[in-house]
Amino acid sequence: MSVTEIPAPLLEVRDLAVDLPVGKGHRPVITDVSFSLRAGESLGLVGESGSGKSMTVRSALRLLPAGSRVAGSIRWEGEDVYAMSRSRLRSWHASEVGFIHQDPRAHINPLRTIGDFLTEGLRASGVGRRESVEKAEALLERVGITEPRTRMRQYPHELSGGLLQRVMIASVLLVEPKLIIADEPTTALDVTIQESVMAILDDLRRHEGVSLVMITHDLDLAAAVTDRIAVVYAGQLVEEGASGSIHTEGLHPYSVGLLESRPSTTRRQRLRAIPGRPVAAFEAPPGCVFVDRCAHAVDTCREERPSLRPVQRQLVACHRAEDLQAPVVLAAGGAL
Amino acid sequence: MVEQLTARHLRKEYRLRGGETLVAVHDVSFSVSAGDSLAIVGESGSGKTTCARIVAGLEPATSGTVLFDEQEVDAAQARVSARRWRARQVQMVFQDPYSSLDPRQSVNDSVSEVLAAHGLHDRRERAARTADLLDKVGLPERVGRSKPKQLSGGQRQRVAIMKALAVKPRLLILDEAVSALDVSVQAQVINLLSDLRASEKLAFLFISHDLGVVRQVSDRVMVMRHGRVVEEGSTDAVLDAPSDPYTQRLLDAIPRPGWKPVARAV
Repeated sequence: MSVTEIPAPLLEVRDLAVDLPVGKGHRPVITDVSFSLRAGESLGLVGESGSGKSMTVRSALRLLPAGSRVAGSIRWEGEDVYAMSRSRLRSWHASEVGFIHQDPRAHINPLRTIGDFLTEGLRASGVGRRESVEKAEALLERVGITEPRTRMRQYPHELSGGLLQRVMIASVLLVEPKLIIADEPTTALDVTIQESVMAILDDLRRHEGVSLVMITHDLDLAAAVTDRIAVVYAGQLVEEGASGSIHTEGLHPYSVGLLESRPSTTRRQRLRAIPGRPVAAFEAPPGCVFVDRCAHAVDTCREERPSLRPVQRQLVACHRAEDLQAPVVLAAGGAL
Repeated sequence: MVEQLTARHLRKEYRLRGGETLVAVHDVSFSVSAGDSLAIVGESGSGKTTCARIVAGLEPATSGTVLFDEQEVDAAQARVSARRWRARQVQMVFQDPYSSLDPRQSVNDSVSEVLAAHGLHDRRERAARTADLLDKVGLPERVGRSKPKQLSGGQRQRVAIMKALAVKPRLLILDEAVSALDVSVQAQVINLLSDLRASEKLAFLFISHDLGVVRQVSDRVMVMRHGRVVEEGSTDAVLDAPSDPYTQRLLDAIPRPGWKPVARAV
């Protein structure tokens, strides 16, 4: 084995393309996605419905339905995820990656207490009863739950959505994962609750060095809480860069359009809406995936699919990126 | 001035199992004048949707009155003529248009059915009015022949708006009507609503949790929490300089560059 100066990224996705089985054939859901994540870093995977943002993560974790076709490479600390044995894959999922879903209620057994839910994994791996309970209670406190002992005895239906999402986060922390994947973790929650959940995730990353991939449709939210943002559209990563620069000087017409579509909370003005609707990878035109909705499209955009390349401080998949460099400065806006 | 809609001292109680009473709305009053747009803002459990449903006649209030042009409407008074009259005063658009559209009916048929129920008996007139409505909400003619499942989320919400407009109501209640849409499509529907409000001389009662959307679509705003009104005033005044700490907290919770989310213990 050779000694390398730079450690391999925690997660590296290269030239990912995925076709899912549909009926007798296959249908593309991801056509071109690449990104890498270092330990302790957070990445916002931003896109609208059908963009492939959730599928990207499912592919990276090798959680695709049987019969799916995957091209490209996924590496975890340098290890090829698709070459892992079944037992290695199981232990990787169980001990190194935590998944937080949009709807915790659908992922927590309604018939068992919060305490049972939190301790069953530990108990199964041989940890004693008392120790499991103490660990679970400590984690509930860690996520801001003030009466952990009472909560442990309650059933999921007795807890609000926000509380249950905190329980979900605590359950993920039980195994001390290196990476947390949060799929629209606050979309179903009220804003004031969203704030708490985001604060908890942010704190874990800062103080415990956990990496975070957050899947969201909310570019403002991603910009506020992640280091880097990858914008996905129709199965393709169209722009990637530091969260601050994507938010203030995004180059891809889709990233810029997404920001301009958000109604501002500070001023009233007619919205500059992107015409048409978001399309999925299988519906995308042969050239640039965004061409039909783009105000800057020229003939090249219709003929040739642009690939991701460095422009300014970002990576962007747009033929016209240089022409569109004039930075767009936006006032604060945001989803509640 | 005669207010188009007046809601006075609305109170709504729900009996829970075990004999407890939940007060969802405590003594809430508001009014909307012709062409005005009032937003009711709040989080889950604030009572904002309950207020809207009482005004729309979908739920009776435990006490309090709802008046249109100072005429009292009683939800219990279920005569067809009274229901039709109310339908022309107020129509409601929901967050999920799927639940309000019949999956087996084409868009044209479902709108035509509404028109027939409101006395437009001539088939050709109904077809002409349906075509006109499609155009108004920015949908191509072929959408009229489609079933709901063949439409995108944005198109379905346009169809729901079109159906609401069919009886020429004076007030449209929009209950989180743009919340479930993709951001890029949401912007189109917000612009459409602004245009329709002007061209159809509609008044809006806009129920939302999204202060950005509220800034765009309303003139006045009422902030609710736990069934009570905590603050009300012109949208600009309330959002620029909120006087209630809860309104301030809602504004502080909006993600923006440099935002530092704070966790509260629960």
